[in-house]
Amino acid sequence: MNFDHTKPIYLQIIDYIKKQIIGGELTIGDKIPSQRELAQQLKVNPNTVQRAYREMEAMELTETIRGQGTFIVEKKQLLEELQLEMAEALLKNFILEIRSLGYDDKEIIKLVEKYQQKLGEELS
Amino acid sequence: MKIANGSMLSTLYKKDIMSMKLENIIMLVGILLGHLYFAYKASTGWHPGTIPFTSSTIFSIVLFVILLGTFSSIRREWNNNTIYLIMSLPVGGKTIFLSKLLTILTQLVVFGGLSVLLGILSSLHFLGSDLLVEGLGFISKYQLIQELLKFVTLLFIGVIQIIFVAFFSSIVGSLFKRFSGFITFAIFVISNVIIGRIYTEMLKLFMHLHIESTRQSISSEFFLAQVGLMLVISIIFFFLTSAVYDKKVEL
Amino acid sequence: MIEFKNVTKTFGKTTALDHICLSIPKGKIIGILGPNGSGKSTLLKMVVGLNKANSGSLSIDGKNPSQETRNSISYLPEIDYLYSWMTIQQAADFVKSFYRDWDEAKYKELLSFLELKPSMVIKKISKGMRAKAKLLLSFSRNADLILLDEPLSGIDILTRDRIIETIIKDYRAGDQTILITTHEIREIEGILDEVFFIRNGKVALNGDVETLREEHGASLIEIMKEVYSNENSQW
Repeated sequence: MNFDHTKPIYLQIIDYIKKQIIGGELTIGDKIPSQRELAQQLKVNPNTVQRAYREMEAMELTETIRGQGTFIVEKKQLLEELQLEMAEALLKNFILEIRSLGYDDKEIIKLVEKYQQKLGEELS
Repeated sequence: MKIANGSMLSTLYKKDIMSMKLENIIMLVGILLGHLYFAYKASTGWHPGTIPFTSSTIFSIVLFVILLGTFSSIRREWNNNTIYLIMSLPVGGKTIFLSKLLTILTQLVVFGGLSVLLGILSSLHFLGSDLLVEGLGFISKYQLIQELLKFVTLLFIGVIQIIFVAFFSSIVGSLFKRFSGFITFAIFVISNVIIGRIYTEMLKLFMHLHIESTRQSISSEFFLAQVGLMLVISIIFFFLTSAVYDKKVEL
Repeated sequence: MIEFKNVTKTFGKTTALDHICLSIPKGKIIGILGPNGSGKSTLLKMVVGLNKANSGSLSIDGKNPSQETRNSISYLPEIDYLYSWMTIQQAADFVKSFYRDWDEAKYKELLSFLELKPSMVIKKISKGMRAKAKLLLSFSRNADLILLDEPLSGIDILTRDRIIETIIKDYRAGDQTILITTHEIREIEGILDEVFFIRNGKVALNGDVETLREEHGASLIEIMKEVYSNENSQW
């Protein structure tokens, strides 16, 4: 996996886990690889993975059960929460950038609808 | 976390011997070919009396080559950068130089011994075994065996001393980036001159105290003093070399 | 774990380290970065004992560099320092007999991971393979302190990846300390925990890498350009 070195790697590891949940590869209650395994998989410094795991534990995304491993928390709305979180980040960037081009909010919604349609046609 | 010194020493010894594989082969071939050549010459016209001289010459050349090898066994670690490996090992100068000493001594025993053996064989072959019988008779008649033993002991310790002085000169030379070869040579010469002076003083001291050698033998006291002095000087140079290596050498 | 207190090291008229102060923590992968000639290699050599300080003090776990401290250090200089007439197996047997922390299982595993054969003669293999051989001998030990001086220099891209993988593969985080010097940051920055930028024999900037990334919003390469922008650096 290629990391963006301008941003902390441990945050990108956390994003990676989140994306796996959103994408369905991981669901709530699933066991994630051990720190060592993940470090080898992603070819990353184990200390960085440790930091990511600590952070995920702190943000209550994962929990570690002694002797058993690290698991995604059993939180029903986790998937929806993550989707919303990612969407909000994308939307924030998108709206700020499109606004800087000169469009106002009403025009932005029209543009979005137009291009949703266009995208739908292209894909079919 | 420590490995026994003995096993580190034997590993270094094996490495040092194998490092000189090429020289050893050349020396072996040189000795064999040299003796064969002179044997050939002696059997096709040369006077057989030349054999002891030619054999001695070959022996001297062997000694000289081994002496040169003493310097190069150290220089070469620098030239090949293997000194980086050696200096980063958890092993001190004493073990390193002991290993190199043993390597040089091995060469002396093997190649020096071979050269002497072939020389004796050639002499016997060309000058007849009567010579040997005469020689042995002469030796036992004048009780020269003891003298011979004393002589051999002095030679052996003298060789060790020269080796340690050579090591010391090489190590001091390695402290300098430029002219290191010249400095090595200079230190070697100066050290030997100083040592020679010490022996001369000792000899004068003995004469002053009226402890004289008889014309044909070395008195025991003088012999013991000489051996003792040589050992002390050798040990001093050994410890100096190790100390300079441990504390002063940098890469 | 390693403390440089006001250490100065000069070679003739050149000052390699100028009253440098550094504190290297245990259990992390640390980068000592800077352009050629900034004193990085000298720093490493001093830890091993190949160079001695002109002034100041250097301690490893409270002790001076000595034969004893070398027991748990694995040093990889930039140059070819193995006996070139040896085979890889002979070199391994040689190194093995000086260290208690040799791990034979790791050695066998690394041999195949690095695609090397014990019978290969060191002077007969390519430069990239020699670099891998050096690494093999270093990492077949469970040394507490590993010093890598420009481990990637002159190595092709594929081999570089292998080398980086080897470094982190069995790395005992929190226990082992790895010090890497390089002027080629790109591949290394991904595995560094902390970094020290050396400039003119002093520490110009240091810190936790992830924190630096967050604070500067930039990669180490970019941060480094900032650090060295007031002079002619040779990138």
